[in-house]
Amino acid sequence: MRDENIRILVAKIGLDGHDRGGLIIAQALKNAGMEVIYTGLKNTSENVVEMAIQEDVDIIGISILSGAHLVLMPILMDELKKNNADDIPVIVGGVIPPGDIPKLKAMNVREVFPAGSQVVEAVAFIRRLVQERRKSTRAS
Amino acid sequence: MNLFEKIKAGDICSIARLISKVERRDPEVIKAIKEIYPHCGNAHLIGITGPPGVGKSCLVSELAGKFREKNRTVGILAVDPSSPFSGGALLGDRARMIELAGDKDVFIRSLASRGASGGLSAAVSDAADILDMSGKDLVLIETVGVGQGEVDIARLAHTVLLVLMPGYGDALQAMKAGIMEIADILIVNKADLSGADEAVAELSTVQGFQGMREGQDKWVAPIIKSSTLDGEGIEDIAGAVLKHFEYVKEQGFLRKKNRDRRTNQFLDIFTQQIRDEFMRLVKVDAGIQRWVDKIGDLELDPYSASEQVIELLRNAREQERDSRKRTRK
Ligand SMILES: Nc1nc2c(ncn2[C@@H]2O[C@H](COP(=O)(O)OP(=O)(O)OP(=O)(O)O)[C@@H](O)[C@H]2O)c(=O)[nH]1
Ligand SMILES: [Mg+2]
Repeated sequence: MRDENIRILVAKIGLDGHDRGGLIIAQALKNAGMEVIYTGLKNTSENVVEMAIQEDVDIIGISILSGAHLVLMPILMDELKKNNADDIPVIVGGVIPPGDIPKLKAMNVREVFPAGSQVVEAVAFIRRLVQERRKSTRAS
Repeated sequence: MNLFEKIKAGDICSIARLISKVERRDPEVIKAIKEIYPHCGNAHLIGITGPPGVGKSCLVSELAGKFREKNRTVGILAVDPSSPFSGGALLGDRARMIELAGDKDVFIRSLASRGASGGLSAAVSDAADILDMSGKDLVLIETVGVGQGEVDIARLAHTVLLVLMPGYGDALQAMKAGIMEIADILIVNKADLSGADEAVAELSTVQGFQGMREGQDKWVAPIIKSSTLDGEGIEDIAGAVLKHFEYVKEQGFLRKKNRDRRTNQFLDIFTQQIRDEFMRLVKVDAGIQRWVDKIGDLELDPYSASEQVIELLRNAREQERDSRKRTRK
């Protein structure tokens, strides 16, 4: 069996009303062979966590363009913990100033892909992360 | 609590994980399904099919909301095609179902069709069983109607909704004959756009030509206009769905539907397992290997080969029957 079929939730949190970026990323991940649960606009942190659990995703990819990542991400990470779902890794993409990257990583965000990152990098990172995680969780 | 009890209690995490295992065709899941199976059969399975973009997901969301008002618990399976090239899939249905978020009595799961080209994978049926056992009163299954998908959903679901929109009259002609026959409820969605009445008229004309449905089934599919923008028709559709299930039960069709579904499911599993087992045998048994090679070398034609195997099965059955007769005496 091809153990690909990585399931990733692509969500945008925050109130800015467009999501071309998220949809382009979703399409690119699909072309890389992943199953992308695309959640559209108007997501709250609660919704994202609920969806991630129901969809049993391997990883969550958050797109943030509003600049509010330092406010929104702690809420999401908290919500994951509250729901016993903080074993699901989270990555962030979008408009993120370099200086904020360590701050996000300190919240346990696994990796940050600021605007201008290559999709292939993200794909490689996701594959590696998911394979490691599957090895540890499915063995148990 | 073991996994089985957790699912029975509606534990979201356990339901989600078991569905993933079912999707991977994980061998240990077969054990779980065997345990679950006797506890299925309480849910009303509803298929929602139709061409891309007619508003199926929006409609599923609205309908689920309506059923929640009636205090029914709801499971939703949204199936989208996998790319035959990359194997990936963009599962965007639940983006249209945001209004259902936060309701613990609604479970939504997106499924990629994976290997099942056009049709529904075996995982969809198993996932429906899992939601059934978890106590969902209604399970709504959204599939894109392209060819095989419609036939499969008709086998799986008790009630099938065919969703169209204004301007889809031609599409209906182009669709496989018999599509009208599988629909228990016909919906012209996007009735807020112009041309909805024409579409309804067209549908009822086509329906008129169809004549009676197979067997004793006298159900005439209602044609309902709807709009997910202003809520038109949603109450009517929900009512028709429940009415159809009552009809199916009263007429004694429920049992037949369930039996047909399970027979098909068994045949799918059986043929798959026969294939797998045979391929395994070929690898380890030199005699069988030689026998198969005869087919390749044109010494034995594949029809006769298949008949030989079926003959073996038949003989085994006869022997079993004889030995049972003898023990009874
Ligand atoms: N005008 C109008 N637009 C609608 C209605 N229902 C849905 N739409 C729009 O139609 C588009 C497709 O809706 P979906 O619910 O995603 O359609 P679908 O049939 O599930 O699409 P696929 O899953 O991709 O096949 C969206 O842009 C909706 O906003 C309606 O009643 N009226
Ligand atoms: Mg849809």
